[in-house]
Amino acid sequence: MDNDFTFVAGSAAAAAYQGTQVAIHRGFPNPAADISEQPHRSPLALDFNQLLVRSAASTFVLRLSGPDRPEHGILSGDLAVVDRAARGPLVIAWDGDQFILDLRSQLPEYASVWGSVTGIVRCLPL
Amino acid sequence: MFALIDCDNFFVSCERLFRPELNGRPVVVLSSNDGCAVSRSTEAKALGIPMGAPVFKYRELFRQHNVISFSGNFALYGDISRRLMLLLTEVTPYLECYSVDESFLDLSQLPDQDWRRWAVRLRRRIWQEIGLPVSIGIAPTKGLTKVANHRAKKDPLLGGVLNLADMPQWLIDTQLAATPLEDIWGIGWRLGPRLRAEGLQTALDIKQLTPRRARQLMGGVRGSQLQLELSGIACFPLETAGRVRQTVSHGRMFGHDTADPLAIRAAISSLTARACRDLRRDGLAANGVYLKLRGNRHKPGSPRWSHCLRLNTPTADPGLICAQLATALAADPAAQQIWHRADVLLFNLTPSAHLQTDMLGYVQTAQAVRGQQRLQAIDAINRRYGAGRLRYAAENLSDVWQPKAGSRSPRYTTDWGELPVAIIKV
Repeated sequence: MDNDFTFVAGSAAAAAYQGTQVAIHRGFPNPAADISEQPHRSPLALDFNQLLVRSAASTFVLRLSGPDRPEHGILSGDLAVVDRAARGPLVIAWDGDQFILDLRSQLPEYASVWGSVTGIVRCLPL
Repeated sequence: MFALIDCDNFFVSCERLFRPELNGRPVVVLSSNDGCAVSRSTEAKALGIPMGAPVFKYRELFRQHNVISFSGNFALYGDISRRLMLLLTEVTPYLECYSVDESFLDLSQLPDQDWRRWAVRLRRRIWQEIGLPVSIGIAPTKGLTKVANHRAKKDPLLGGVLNLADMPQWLIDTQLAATPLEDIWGIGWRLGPRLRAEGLQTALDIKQLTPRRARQLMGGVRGSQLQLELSGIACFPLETAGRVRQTVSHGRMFGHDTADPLAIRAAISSLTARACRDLRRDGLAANGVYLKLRGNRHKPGSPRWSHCLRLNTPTADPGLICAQLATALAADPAAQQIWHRADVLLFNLTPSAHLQTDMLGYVQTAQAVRGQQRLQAIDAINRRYGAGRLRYAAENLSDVWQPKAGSRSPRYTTDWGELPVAIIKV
């Protein structure tokens, strides 16, 4: 492996980059490297955006906080995938001071809908 | 037929998307270094805060009227702009992204030929899906769409949309008469005062110039084209993605005025690195580099210094460029002053694939290829781990030059650590 780039700062990132096997080769180049803009990611690999994002222009991510609601499958700290172009029963709304997560049917009348929740993402502690 | 879609108070609107309580309140967004107001809400405009208002002059007014000010959050604005372009490419592929908040569309291929109805729906869709207020002007020329857009913003009765396409000429003329000439596409701060001095005030005055006079007053062919565009004769086509860059420039004000050569070199290194990154992204290399330093304009006798580099071989390698700039800077005593701002401009750009030789006919291939691989590796790492993760050492010589960003809002859409929060009620 050619360490031509280690003269610059950020050696941790460089080390991580070397670990992906697609840095600078002395031998044959990786034939997939030309296909993808990001050579470390195969164009065939599963992409979670495909699953979670229906409309990239109108999809935002908010972090949820407050009491756990396991009966709805929602825990504090979860990420809510919110699509402003979709219309679903679970919504993010602005109640005048803050964003809230609530059922569309239970919203207080002074709250205005900001977007519909189309997914919940949670990373488990190891 | 063209449409111009222009966001209303774009930066302020981006801030309001995640702070809905700011609707109806005076809000301004400040330039890098918090120097002056670069985006103002309607309420702030009504208080008489002009575009580019220097903060130190208006601090009292801000306090009196509880004006909320933000430091520029350019990651947020860039991401929201990207979303708008994404939505517009779904509407039509005939699209020219003119600036961060303005796009021209060619409507002739559109299935719906009721343009006003189309525009009203599109405007509602952008508001619903991205949360941005926009105005839409429709006209047979790009020059006239700018006028239509300006009127759509100013006249609340129009509901954000003005279609000049099927309007009789006398009605178009009333819209032109209501448009100050500074708001015409192609007339900037330089040309505006000159035309005013000639007694011209509105877009209608420009339209009624004779072609000869238009050429005289507004600089040759370009001038008569501006005039023709206002008369409804299209001179400027839609420039889709293929627009070739002529120059790349990056500039910044320093956090504090400084004479520290390390701080100045750090700034230049960082600006050059960014400009070169833009070049590499577009597959270009530069033949020339222009470095400009400027003292504080608000202090008397503010100095200026500039240096022009001609490169023997076109390059997009910041290392090569910075080394030469640093040498030039150190060699000239006139450059040892207190500086306020630095600008790096790369010009005379050529596609980097056509590797040219220098005067002696050398292309140092092995070295050039190694250099290129190094830069590709840097770009790949920065794409993956975040911009600026891997830097040239000189960029870290000093951080005095880094802009102040006193009250930047969170990067709601581009940083996992700064997401907006919603409280669980269910």
